[in-house]
Amino acid sequence: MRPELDAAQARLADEVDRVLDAAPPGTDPLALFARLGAERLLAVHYPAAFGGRGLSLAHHVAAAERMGARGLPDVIHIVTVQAVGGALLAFGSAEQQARWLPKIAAGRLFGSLLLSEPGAGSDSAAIRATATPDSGGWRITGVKTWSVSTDRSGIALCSARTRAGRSRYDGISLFLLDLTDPAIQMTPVPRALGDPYFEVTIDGAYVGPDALVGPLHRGWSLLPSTIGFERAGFECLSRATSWMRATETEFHRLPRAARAAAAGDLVRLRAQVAGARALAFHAMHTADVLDVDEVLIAYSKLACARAGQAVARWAGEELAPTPELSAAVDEAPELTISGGPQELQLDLIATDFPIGRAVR
Amino acid sequence: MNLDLDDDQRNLLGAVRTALLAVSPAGSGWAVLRQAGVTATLADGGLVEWCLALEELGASCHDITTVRAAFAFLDAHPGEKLPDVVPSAQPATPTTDRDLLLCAAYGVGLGRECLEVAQDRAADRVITGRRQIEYQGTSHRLAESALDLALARIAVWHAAWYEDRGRPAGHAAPAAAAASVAAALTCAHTLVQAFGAAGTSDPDVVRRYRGAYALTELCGSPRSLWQAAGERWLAAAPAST
Repeated sequence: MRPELDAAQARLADEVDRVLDAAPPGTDPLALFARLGAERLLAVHYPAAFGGRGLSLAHHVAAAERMGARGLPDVIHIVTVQAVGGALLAFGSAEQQARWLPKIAAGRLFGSLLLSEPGAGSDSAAIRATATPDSGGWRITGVKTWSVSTDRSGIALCSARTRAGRSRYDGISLFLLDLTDPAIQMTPVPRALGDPYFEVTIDGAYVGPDALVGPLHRGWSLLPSTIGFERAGFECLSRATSWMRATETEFHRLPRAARAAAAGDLVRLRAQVAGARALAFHAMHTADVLDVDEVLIAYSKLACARAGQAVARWAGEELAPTPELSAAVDEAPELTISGGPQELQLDLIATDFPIGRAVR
Repeated sequence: MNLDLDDDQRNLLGAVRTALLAVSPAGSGWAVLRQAGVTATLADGGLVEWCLALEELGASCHDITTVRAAFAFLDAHPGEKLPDVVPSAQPATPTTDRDLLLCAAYGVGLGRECLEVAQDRAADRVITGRRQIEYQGTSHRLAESALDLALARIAVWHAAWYEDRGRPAGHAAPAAAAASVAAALTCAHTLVQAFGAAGTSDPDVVRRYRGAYALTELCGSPRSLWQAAGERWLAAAPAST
């Protein structure tokens, strides 16, 4: 048991600080990722041959947490390095790994997930997009939605049906798409709260045989590992931590009597964030690239999301609005929706026998 | 950063659980642990080890007096590494942060037992052709309670870990107790609800339910504990902020 970073994790976090401190003020976040990539800090859990340092996921999250704390957009990093890069690392061919992972680890290529479809919500098996054999490769057609940061991405991991299948989970395959293909069009779906989602229309985009990631027809079984890290809730944790800091700053501006009256609430929120952080780090400590405990991940995601929401709600109710706290109030509902809605996590936790097994 | 127990801690847990299997329904878990020599091992351990044992007592015996027995045992063994920083507390309540954390650990165990029994009941019971646990009204309540309990356990473990290293956060013990008592109460209510009308008369359910409320008598209400934690935190906050 260890409630704080170990020495190696702390050193990585310090290295992230040094790289970011050395960048000129106002440097674009994507350029900052490239600077971190140049120091092999963006994906330290990748093998050295692919631009990493061959360390564990637990080391990686220590570096990633610091990136989030310094204001880098977590979603880009989590989806690119963990989801897309992680899928390639785990299931990609040697050629795919050699071609794509060094660019991802260098912070010079970003990726998106094209899994959800209109009307299907979080049911990733409800796939109507198709990939049909064509000239030795595949021609992909369909519409994907709820994709994030797609406008900044060069590639995307896309699910499509490659045969009717004996069940709804059979016959799903994963492909790596080049988002610069003119047969792929993306349309922002504006939101009043937060950055836009993207709806992506794929109109007969051709991909070669080397675009298939993992086994043909059996891509469904790869998805939990692919999106497992996203579902650990680190992007929620980053927001919870940042919102907690902003909340404390405003709390300390309250009159003395108001601070005294609300101090118990502040400590409760701090404990909630700290507990969520412990669960998230533990989930990654016990995971490797291929294997995560789905139930532990559910606890982690739910705890991180709820912590962020609790902080945002308290701040929205009790403190004068500031730009950051207002943004927190706006973004908070999404935390229990994106990356797997909370209903899925609650079901996983409730049906794990004996209940609580995964967290003790 | 992780929640893994080390080998010694896992061995201790195994010894505690084995010993507690011998407790008769009306017997004292604490007496059994003493007879099995587990308390002697604990006397050499840190607060984390004590908290692990107390969670098992809470889960297995449902006897709140074991917490007081643990206090008495600790007080009779001077030289232990545990701090004693709240001398002004009322005599009938925990007198130190160490005691508060032991109560909190016991509460985590009690809550754990409540949830496991509730889950078993919901998995076995069939209502209008479906297992009760298939209804989200039941399953989600179980899961919400389990999450609260997991966070309470982490708060207890972390507070004890820092105490053992001589770096206690002043507010951590009351905060952990607040989280634990609140979680135990939530789990006890979930247990009664899972049993339906039977839960209001089943003696085992009622004992656990009352046990959770006994924690509020021993430690204080969650609200008062959070406030106490908040006052300590505020007192330690930098003056400039």
